[in-house]
Amino acid sequence: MSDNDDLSLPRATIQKILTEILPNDSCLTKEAREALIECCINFIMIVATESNDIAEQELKKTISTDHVISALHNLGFDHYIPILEEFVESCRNNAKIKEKRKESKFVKSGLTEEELLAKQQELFKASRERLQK
Amino acid sequence: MADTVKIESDTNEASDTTTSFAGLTGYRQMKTHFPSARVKKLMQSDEDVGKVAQATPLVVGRAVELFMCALVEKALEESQHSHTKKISVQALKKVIDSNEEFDFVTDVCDKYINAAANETTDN
Repeated sequence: MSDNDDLSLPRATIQKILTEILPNDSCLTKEAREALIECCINFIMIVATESNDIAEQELKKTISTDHVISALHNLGFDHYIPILEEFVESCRNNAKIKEKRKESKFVKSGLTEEELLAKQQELFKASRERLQK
Repeated sequence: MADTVKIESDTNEASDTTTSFAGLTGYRQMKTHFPSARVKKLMQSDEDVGKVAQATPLVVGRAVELFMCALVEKALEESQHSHTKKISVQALKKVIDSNEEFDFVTDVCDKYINAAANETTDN
């Protein structure tokens, strides 16, 4: 346990989640909470190991979300999969929106990269002058 | 548990129509999430685990949350049978032992049961 001490799940987060999901009048004993944390860590570890094996079988060096989902299937947690797929999808949509925003800012300026660079230099120069005054 | 798991191709948000299982209600109530950096670190504490995609720790984090909710929800049910409001390690152990999907953590509870026993004798 000693080498796991610095690598655990944050207790404050666990406590916060527990108060969110438990009815007001119930709680866990101190030992039960510790045991629960250890169970969660074990869960992360088996999922990590299993997804790593799947990634290796596919000759991939990076573990993707698909590998995690297949790992959960292999470990018998199929019922989690639809919810996680939903979550992956929402992540993807968020990323797309962000990308669009980034893109549009550049496109909106209507300038080429060189023009923007020149503009930046101008701004630098202006502020330098302001400083020297 | 052996309910058919529907995988809808056009899954959008609020798909309450999909199968419900222990832990799902808790998961939906949850606003706090595990920090993905920590999840990633834990994953990579296994030496064999190399690189992971950006979204991977997030998904693993959600999976742990589902798992934790299922465990807590069942343990709560268990302690309600014995009319206690504090969930004990014993209740947690009983849940783990009686559900096949939790069999990888069967031996976790034992040392905490001992710790709890020692504490009571110390006092």
